[in-house]
Amino acid sequence: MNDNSTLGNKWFSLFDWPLFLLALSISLLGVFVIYSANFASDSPSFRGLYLKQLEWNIYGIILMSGMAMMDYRVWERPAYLFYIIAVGLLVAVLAGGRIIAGSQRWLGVGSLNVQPSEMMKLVLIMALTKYFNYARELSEELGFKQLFVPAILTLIPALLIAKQPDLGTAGVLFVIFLVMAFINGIRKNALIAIIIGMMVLVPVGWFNLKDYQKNRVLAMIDPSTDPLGIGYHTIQSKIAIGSGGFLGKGFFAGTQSKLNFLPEKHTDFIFAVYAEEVGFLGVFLLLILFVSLVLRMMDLIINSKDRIGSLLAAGITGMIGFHFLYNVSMTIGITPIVGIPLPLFSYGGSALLTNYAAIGILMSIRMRRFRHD
Amino acid sequence: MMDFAYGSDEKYFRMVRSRLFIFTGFVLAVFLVLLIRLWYLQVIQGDNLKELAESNRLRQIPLPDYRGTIYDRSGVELVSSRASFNIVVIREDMPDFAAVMGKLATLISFDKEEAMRKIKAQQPFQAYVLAHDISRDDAARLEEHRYELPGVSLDVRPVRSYKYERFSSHLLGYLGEISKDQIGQGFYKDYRKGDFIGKYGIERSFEPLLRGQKGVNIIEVDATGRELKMIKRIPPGVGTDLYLSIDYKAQLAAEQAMEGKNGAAVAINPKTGEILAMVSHPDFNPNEFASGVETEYWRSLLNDPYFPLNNRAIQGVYPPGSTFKFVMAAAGLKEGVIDENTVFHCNGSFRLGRRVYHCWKKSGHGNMTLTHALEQSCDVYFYNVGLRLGVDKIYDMALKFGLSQRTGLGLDHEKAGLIPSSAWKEKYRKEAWIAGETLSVAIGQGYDQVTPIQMARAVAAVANGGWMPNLRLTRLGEHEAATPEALGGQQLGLSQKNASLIKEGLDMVVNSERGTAFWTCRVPHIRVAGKTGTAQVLKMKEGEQNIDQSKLPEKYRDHAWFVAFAPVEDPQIAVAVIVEHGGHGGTAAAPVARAMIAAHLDAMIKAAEAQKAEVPKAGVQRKPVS
Repeated sequence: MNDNSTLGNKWFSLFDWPLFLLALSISLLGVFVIYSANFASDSPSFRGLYLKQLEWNIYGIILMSGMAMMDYRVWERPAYLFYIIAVGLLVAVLAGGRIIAGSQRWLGVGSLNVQPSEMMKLVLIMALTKYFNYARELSEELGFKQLFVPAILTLIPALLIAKQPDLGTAGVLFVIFLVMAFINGIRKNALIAIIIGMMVLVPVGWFNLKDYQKNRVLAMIDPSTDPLGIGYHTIQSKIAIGSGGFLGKGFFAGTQSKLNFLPEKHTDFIFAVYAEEVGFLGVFLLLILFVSLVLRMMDLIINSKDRIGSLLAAGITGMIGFHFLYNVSMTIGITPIVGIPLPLFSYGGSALLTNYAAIGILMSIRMRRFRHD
Repeated sequence: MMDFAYGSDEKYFRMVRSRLFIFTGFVLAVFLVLLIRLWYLQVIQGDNLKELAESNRLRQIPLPDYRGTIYDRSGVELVSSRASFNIVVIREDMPDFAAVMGKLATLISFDKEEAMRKIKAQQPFQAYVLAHDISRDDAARLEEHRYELPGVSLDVRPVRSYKYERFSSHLLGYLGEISKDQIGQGFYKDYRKGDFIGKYGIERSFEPLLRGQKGVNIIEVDATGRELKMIKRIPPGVGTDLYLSIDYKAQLAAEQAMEGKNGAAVAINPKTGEILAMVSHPDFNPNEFASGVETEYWRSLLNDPYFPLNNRAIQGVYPPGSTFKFVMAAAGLKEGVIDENTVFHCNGSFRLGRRVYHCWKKSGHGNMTLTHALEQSCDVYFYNVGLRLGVDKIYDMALKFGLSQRTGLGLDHEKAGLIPSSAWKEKYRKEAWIAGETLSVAIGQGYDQVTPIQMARAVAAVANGGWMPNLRLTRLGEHEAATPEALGGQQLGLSQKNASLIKEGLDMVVNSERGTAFWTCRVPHIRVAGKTGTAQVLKMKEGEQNIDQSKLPEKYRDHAWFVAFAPVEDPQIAVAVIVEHGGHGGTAAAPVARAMIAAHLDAMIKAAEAQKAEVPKAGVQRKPVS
């Protein structure tokens, strides 16, 4: 693309090094903690997980670089097509996906398990960007009319994902929608309507929850009611984090994770593994890294060249920021446990590739913010 | 090639600025909440949660303690803790489960199919106890083949062993698993479920002394409970050994003499209050409880009509019968209503108001002084004494003899018995005292109820000439002074003369030809004093003459009492024996007392025999005892 050739010689200086280094340090720390969580495991496949994650990191960085080189505006035109494909994949998952740990979230491609719900997040961001950008042409602020289509666009995949069941990711889609609508401008009465709508949906949703999902919410409210049952994860996670104290037990010395008291230790609860071993000091450092990452991404909402860049940045910041804040709050026991991993840090190829791709898009936006063509 | 126009939208970005401000504020606020929560968990709650993590990780496996050994006064071992072997199998450690179990079945006998089914039903790393307390031969055989038996190990545990089985079972007691209510209560606060504690007898009373320090293995486990490695081991400690005051020989003699009879026999050292023997029949075998009560045996004991679990020596209450007469003698002498010259005439019956009270001897005893009344157990004499005293004076003296109250020797379930007073009858029966009842009380019938241990201590007071010792179950230490002041006890307030008078009367019971125990309780070379007694089971109706006891069904026959002390010159043993439904005290109970005395004073008898063998040469005759 001629765009790239003109950008080529300035590529190095325009590259978003701070964003890249923040993302890289978080994900490499993640690889290290995945190793620490599993090095004492009986199973060789668990012991080798960190290598797989490292491999995914390499693919991720390549993907990120590719996305960074491409003009972010290319995603606008085929966004609806992508959306239809992604929704199709979600339907395929429900029809014949692989079931792992009671949830039907994966599509088998050879020996690989792909999680379409992960890429759905990014595709939804693109589709909403396209719609909001178009709606902006018609009206300054978003009213009910302009919110109806994006709400439907969000609801369809969200319901499909909730059916898997994966409440966490379904929730992430709504958060993306809310953040983008909020940034793009939303009328006060529409905002109030959405909030009221949510308040109606929550109890309706409650009755449609599966028992284990209800129990998780109940367990969050009081985990000690049934320490070996529904509150077990929360309690063990809190014990792991708290027992780390100020300085931590040291790398490889966390007993809660090594002796398997922690559930999902290399995925959803990896933050607890980390917190047990490095204590408050190490946790503070990681949180600073994450907040810097989020603020760096957030900066593009205002400093991008155009609305498309700004809306993409809003969606991506909303996605990664929410993952981070929610995962930490759930491991420290202040929100219900749902399957929301810590971005870049938790084990998982699909999520890692999605996040790197998203970061690549942000880089593309940053590199092109001064151009006038 | 695609061309894009970067559309700049100033209005859009103006609006975004304010919204982004709110968005950033929201993110930072949540971030702050997370940070505060993490500070709370890791810094404020850190130590608490660290402890929880440790208790997650560490499992404490208590190691049973070794209880102290129980000896008799001369060091004969009565109760000890022996090692028992349990076979423990861990399936995970067996490369070939079926093969190892098969091999095991060739070495020892057990239900292989059932065991394999049960082992498979539990987690592979969980230990399964295949057999409890296997024989030493089996243990040796397993040890020999240990290399062919991976995953099979012997677990050594202490088991209480009562060496002489049924020997003094009520006194020694038994162990049992701690009950739910006891755990964590008072003294038992550091006991756990499954611990064995003394439940009865000495084992219970001396639990704090006998128990050893419990040990513990601290083992790291993972979330599934698999044991990973030993972190620390505190070996169990051994409890304190206990030297009882019991004399094995006297106890054994009593056990043998009581064989086949129901009742109790108690011997004490009158000088120190040490219990020398305590037997209650029927008895039980405490070894049966050593590794948990076998329900069938336990039920058979509970359902036994003769209540073998009752310690009749302290729990059995019986009318004292004529043994009460030495208490009457002491009361009469002390209150001055009689003296050594007082004579009452016995013609076989005694009229009070319109009722006639009989002496056991229908033809009557004739003129009786105190010593002869004791010797021949004349009822009419003591009717007179009783009437002169009145019930409350009798009660006062009985109380001095420790009757109607627990001896407090330190065993559970002791009964107090009862000697009535007019105040007692007023209070509990809401009736005034009737003089005729005093006559029943005077000969140890009616309301009177005593335990064998009370009678042994009372007769010890007579042996001591008026001082009644406190009782004790443990041997008096070598350095402990055996003086009344140091030991504590009770003075009856009898004069020297009066005390000798009663002793003389009891001496005549055994050593005078007219005495009620002349034919049944003399011990060669030892001068014994005693008193027979018959506790009525059937209340005789007015005007009824004595019935021939041997013609009655057993359960209606009288209980036979005998109390005694020896040697008269320097009393070293005081005994009380009751044989339930044994008939006359002299016949049924006195031989038991004689056996105990002879066994306890064995050395003295042998010395006297050796001396006697020299007598013809030396030409010295045995001095008559005054």
